[in-house]
Amino acid sequence: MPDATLPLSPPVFHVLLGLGDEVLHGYAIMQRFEALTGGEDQLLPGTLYATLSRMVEGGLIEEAEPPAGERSGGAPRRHYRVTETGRRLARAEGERMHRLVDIARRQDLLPESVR
Amino acid sequence: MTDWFPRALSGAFRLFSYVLPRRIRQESSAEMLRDMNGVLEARLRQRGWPAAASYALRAIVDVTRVGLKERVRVRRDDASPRARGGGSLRELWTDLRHGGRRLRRAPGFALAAVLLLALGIGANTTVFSALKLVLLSAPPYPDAGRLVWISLMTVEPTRRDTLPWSWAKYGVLEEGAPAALESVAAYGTRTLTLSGEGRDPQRFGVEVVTAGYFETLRTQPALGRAFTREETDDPEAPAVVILGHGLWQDRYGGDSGVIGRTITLNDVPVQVVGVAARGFEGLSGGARAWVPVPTGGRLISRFMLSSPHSHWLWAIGRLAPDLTAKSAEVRLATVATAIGETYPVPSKGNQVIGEPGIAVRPLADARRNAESRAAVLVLMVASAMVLLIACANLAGLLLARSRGFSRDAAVRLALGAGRFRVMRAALAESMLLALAGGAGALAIAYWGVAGLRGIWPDRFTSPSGPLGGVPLESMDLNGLRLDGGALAFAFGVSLLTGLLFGLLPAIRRANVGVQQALREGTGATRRRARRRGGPATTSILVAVQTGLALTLLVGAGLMLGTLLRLRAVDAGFETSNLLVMSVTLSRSSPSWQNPAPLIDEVLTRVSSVPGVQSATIGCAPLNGHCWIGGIRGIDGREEELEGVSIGIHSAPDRFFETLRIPVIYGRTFGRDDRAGSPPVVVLNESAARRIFGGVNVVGRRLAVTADVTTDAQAEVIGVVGDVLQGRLNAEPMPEAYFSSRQLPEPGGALIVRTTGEPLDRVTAVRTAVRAVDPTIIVDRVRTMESARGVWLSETRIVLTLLGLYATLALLLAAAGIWAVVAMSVAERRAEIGLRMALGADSRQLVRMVARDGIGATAAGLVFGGWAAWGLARLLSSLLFEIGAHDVRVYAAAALVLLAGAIVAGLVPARQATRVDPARSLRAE
Repeated sequence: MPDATLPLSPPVFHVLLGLGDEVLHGYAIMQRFEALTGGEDQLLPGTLYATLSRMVEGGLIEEAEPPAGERSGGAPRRHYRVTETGRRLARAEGERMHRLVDIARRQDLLPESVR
Repeated sequence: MTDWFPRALSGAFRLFSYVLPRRIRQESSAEMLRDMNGVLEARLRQRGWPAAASYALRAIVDVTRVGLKERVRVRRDDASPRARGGGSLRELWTDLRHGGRRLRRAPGFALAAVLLLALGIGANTTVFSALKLVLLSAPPYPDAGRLVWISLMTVEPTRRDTLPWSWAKYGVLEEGAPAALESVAAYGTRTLTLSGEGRDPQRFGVEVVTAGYFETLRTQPALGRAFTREETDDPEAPAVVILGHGLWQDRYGGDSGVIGRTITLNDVPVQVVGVAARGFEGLSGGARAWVPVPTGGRLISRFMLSSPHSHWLWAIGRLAPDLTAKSAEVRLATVATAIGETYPVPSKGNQVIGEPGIAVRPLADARRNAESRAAVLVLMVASAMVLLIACANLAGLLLARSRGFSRDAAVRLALGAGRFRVMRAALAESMLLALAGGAGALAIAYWGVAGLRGIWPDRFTSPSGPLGGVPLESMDLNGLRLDGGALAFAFGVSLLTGLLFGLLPAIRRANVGVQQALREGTGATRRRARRRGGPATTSILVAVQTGLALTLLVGAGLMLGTLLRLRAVDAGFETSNLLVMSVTLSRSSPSWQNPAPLIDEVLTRVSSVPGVQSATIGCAPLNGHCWIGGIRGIDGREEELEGVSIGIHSAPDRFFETLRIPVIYGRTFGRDDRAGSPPVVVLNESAARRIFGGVNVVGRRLAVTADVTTDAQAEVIGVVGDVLQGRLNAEPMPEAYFSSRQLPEPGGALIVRTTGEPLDRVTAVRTAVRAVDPTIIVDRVRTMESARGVWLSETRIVLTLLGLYATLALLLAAAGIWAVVAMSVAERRAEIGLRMALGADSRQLVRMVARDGIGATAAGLVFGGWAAWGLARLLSSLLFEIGAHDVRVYAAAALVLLAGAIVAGLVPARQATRVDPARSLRAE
C-alpha cells in the first residue's frame, strides 16, 4: 500500500499512536488520540474510517477480538490491533520525526518549553 | 438545546458521507455515524452548541475531502486495470455502469433520447415488415420466380387496357405458348351454390380453370386426381369438380369416400374427382373448389364457352428455361397478331378502336398492384424520414450534452484517464441509449404491426382498368407479422445510431483541452466553443429536421386533399340510406327459368316493409361489374366494336328511381317492355358518347353480347347519367341497362332505399324475402356507404400513417428549434446582460436570439420544399384530382411549420428578456 512507505501520512501515524499496544474500536481510537494530544489534535470520523480501511488493507493493523468485559450495548464494534509491520513502521516514523525535530531544535525552531 | 440540533448535524454529516466510495461506506458507515453522534452529544454536553457545530462542520468538510480523495484513488486504480489484472469485459461493465448512472442523473435527456429512438426505429420496423411482405415475398408456389401473368391488351393510341381472355382467344394463346412457355393455363372466378345432402345450401367462390392450371402452379391434389384433358377441353365432357381442402373438411369431415361421389352445384349433378392440397386456395386466394371450363359453362353460362367476346379468363404461364418475362412477351407477339387475324378488328370511321396486344410480367409483380406498391414505398420513405429526424434530434441532444460534459471529461483526463477511455465511456452512454431505444422500438413495432394489420384494407383494390378488378390474390396484410429480419435491422440501426452519434460528441470530448475545459465557465471559452461550431452543427441538424417535417406535412396534405376530393366524388346516384344484399334463387326453384314474377313479388314485399321507400334488384353500383360484354351490332348492321367494353345490366322498372340515377333523355322501362315485345335498352351517357358519338341517341339500335339481342337489336329508349360501378377515381364506363323482363337474371343485389339507418332494416327485409320463397339465399349484407368506403380505404390508411408521421416530425422539429434558441440564450447570457445594461429593449433581444432558430427553419424550408417535390412524385399515383406539386398544399405545410417554429422559438427567446444584467455580468 502506498501509505506504507515513509513518511507515513499523518492520519496513519495518528491511528498508530492512538492504538498503541491496545485493542480498541474506532471511537476509542478517536478519543485516545484526542486525549494524548490534549485536545490539540483530532481524528475526524471520515478520515478515521477511510484510514482504518486502508491500513487493514495494507497490513498495518488488523481486526481483533474485543477484550473481555468491554462489550457495551448496541451493534458490535470492530476492534483493531497494531500488527508487527505497523509497529515497525510507527517506530521508523517516530525515528524519522525525531531526527527532524533534532534539526529543528538546532535551528532554533522549537518553542521554549521543549528546548 | 433540544435533541433536534445534534440530529440535524449528524444528518448533514450522513448526507455528505455518501461522497465516500461505496466500499468504505458499506464497511464503516454505521460505526462512523454512531461515533459521530457520540462525539456530538459529548461536545454538546461538555462545551455547548457552538463547539458541537464547529466539530460537525469540520467533520463534514473532512468526510467530503476524504471521500473525493478515495474516489480519485479508486478511479486511478480502475484506469490501469491491466496492472491489476482486470479484464476488458470488466472495463466495459464499468463503462456501462457509469453510463447508466450518468443517464439516471439526467432522466429527462435519457427519456427523450430513448423515446426518439424507439419511435424512429419502431416505425421503420413496422413498415419494413409490411414492405417485405408486399414487395419482396414470392407467391407461395414452387419455383414461383418463373411464373408469369399474361394479359390480353387492347392497344389504342392513347391508352392500353388490360382485358381478361375469352375462351376462344385463350385457345390461340395456348397454341402459340410453346414458343415461350413451359406451360400455360387460365382461370376465372365465379360463385356457385352447393345444395342437397339434407343441409342448408352454401355459396362460395370457385375457380373455373383450363387444362394445365394445377400443373403450371405445380400443386398436386391431396386426394384423387387433377382434371383430364378431356374434362378441360371437350365442351360435352361430364361435369366434374375438385374440392378445396377446407370445403372437404368442413362439409364432408375429411371423408376420403367423397371421391367419385356426385354432389349438386347450382342444381347440376357434378362428380367429385379430387381434393386440392391443404392451404391451396388458387390464384384468386379465395377459391373453395375448382371446375373445368366445360363444367363451368354447364353450371354458370354457356357464353363462357361460346362467345369469343366473352372475356372472363386470366392467363398465367411458367416461363421456358432461359427466358425472361420481357423476352417471352416478344415471342408471344405472334399470338397477338394471330388473335387480330382470327377475330379481326373492324375499322370504322373516326371510332377509336383497340389492337390486341399481349403483356407478360412476373406473377409476383402482378400480385401487387401499382397502388399497394406506391403506398408501401411512400410509407417506407416516410418512415425512413422519421428515423432520420429522430436521429438528427438525438444527435442534437448528444451534442448539447457533450458541451456540458467536456468539463467532466477534462477532470477525468486530468486525473489520468486515457483519451480512449474517456471516449469509450461516452460511447457506452450512447450504446445504452441505443439499446433501450431498440427495446422500446420492439414494443412499438409489435404494436404497430398489429395496428397496421387492423387498418389495412382487406385487400387492396385491383388495378384500374375497364374491368374494375383482377381476381388475383392481392397483397392483404393478414399474413403480416413482426419480421425477424426487420427486427435485426432495427437493432442494427439502433446500435449504429448510438455509435455514430455517440462518437461525434465523444471525439469532441476526448479532444477537449484539459486546462481550457477546466477553466470553462468563463465567457471566453464559451465563445470559443461556439466558434468551434457546436451550435452550427445543431442548426444544420435542425434545418434537416425542419425540412423532413415539411416533406411529410406536404405528403399528408396531398393525401388529405385526395381523400376530401374522393369523398366529394359524385357517384352518379344517391349513396346514402341504401342497403345492399345479395340474393340468389335456387336452380331447383320453379322460378329459375322465369324469375321475373318472383322478383317482382320480392320487390313488392320488401317495398312494403316499414321504413323502406323503394327496392330494386340489379348489379349494385360501386360494387364492381357483374357482367361485361362487347358491342356486336349498331343501327341494324352486324358490327363488332373491339375495344369498347360495356357493362350489361338487368334492371327492374324502379331501378333508376330507387338509386336516383337522373334520366337525361327519353324514358326508362315501363309495363309495355315485356318478354316478347321489341327489345329496348337504356344507355348511360358514356355509352352513348362512346358508341354513337353523341348524347341524345334515343331511337338508335344496338346489339351486345348477351342473350337478349341475339336476334334483334335493341332500341335505345333512354339515356341516363353516368354511374361509377367501381373505383371512385376511375372514368365512368359505358353501361347498357336491359329490362329485367327481357333479360331476366335469377338474382343479383337487392338494393333497398330506406328512410333511416339502412342496417336497422336488415331483419325486416330478410323476413320479407323469405316469406316469398324460403330457398332464396340472402347474404353479403352491406350499406352502399360502406361499399363506397372500401374505395377510400387505401387513401385513408396512407393518410393516417403520413399524418401520424407528419405530426411526430412537426413536434420533433419544434423541439429541435426550441433547443437551438434555448442554447443560444444560455450561451449568450453574458452578452444579453451587457446589451440590457446598455439599454437594448426586450424586443431587440428576442429578435437577436430567435435569429438562430429562424435561420435554421428557413434553411429547412428550402431543403424541405426540394425533398417534398421528390416525395410527391412517388405519391402521384395515389393522388386524385390534386397535383403532386399543388402550390396551396406546399404553402399550407410551410405555414404550419413556420407557426410551429415561431412558437417553439419564442418561448425560450422570451427568457432572454428575463436575464438579470447584474448577475450575468458578475458571472462573466
